[in-house]
Amino acid sequence: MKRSVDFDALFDDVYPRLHRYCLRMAADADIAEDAAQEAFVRLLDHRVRGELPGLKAWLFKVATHILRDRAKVEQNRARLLEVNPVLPGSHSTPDEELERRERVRRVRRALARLEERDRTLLLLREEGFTYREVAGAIGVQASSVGTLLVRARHRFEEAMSDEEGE
Amino acid sequence: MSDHVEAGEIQAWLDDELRGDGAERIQEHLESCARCRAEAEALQRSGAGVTDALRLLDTPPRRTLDEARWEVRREWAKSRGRGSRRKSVVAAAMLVLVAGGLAAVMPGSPLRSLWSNSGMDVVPATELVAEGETDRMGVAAAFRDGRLEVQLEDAPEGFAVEVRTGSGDRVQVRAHPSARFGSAAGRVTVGLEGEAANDVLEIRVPPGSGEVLVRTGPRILLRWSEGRFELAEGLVAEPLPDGVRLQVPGVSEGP
Repeated sequence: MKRSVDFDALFDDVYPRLHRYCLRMAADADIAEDAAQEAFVRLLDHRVRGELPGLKAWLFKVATHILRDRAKVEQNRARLLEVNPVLPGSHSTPDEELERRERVRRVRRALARLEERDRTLLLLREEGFTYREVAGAIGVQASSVGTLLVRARHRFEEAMSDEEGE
Repeated sequence: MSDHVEAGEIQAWLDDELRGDGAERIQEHLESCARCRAEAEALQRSGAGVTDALRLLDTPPRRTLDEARWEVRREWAKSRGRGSRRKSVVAAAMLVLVAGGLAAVMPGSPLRSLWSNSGMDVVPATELVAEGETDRMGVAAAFRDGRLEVQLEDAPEGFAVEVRTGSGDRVQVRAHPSARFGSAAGRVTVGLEGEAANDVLEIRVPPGSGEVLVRTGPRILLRWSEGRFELAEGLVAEPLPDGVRLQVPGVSEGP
């Protein structure tokens, strides 16, 4: 059963990364999980076929649209900037935990301050997408991705510095 | 042209996105230019810093991979069910068109008599409606790339797909690992329950040598032969570009 086997293999390979991408993008575990799963539901629904790289890019693109299309995402992002998920199994002291939460909050704020294109570019690149795939997702030429990536990182670092100064 | 390389180009080189002459040019330049080498090191540190910062946001998924996959399949089945119900009236009208279309290509041979001629049971719609609460099931069948694909949605116990050959030619059926295979001379039967009841079957039958029957118990819902689909009477159906989707109002396990 080619299609089913392919789907399971695709799911096992891509879902963890897609979930992480959605979590970084949306800053909410529920939204991230919903978006990642919804992308796979749409894959099945539209009977999308192809090779792994293309399917993976399709899933990330759809998940990005799902996150973008949710009317509450922006409000949620603002609200959830204050949310500091606790990693299971953490054995840190209360002070260390407090410090970690503060760092998480700063990263979220810095990420939220980026233009959507910069944020998407950074997060897709972190998931190992090629310049060509990133270019397709954000609508630019592949030859300009290097430059845009450098700028996006620079803006993120500036935003982080601002957050640390506040 | 500047004596130095643009940061974006260095980044592309670091990311192994440059090929051939472009990569060699950057490599050679970095070997001889301390400033650009420093820039490359700064870009590497910047990238690592961003990666570390973003990792702070990661938390493990609350569901295991198996749970998440199951949830996706469940949501998909639910969404298709909702879609089918919304389209039921339209689909009923389409059935008339589909049945009419089939009758038109087989003048004087209505579907029912065609089924009777096959020596198998006919499936009037009234017999398919179960007493009490029974979920709808769906069957979508399409023929593409030399193989028949049967997509099942919530198939009930006793549901099976049967591949019959008159020539003894080899057929190939791929199904969910939990499916039950049976075989006899000229016939392969695949029983579908549990996870297999919401999955896809892939069937390859050599041209001109066989037919595929989709049935529940002895009742045939759909027949594919010679690249053509034939429906049992009374089933709600909608055409697909390369096949047909049936919506079975409710299927009892036995007569």
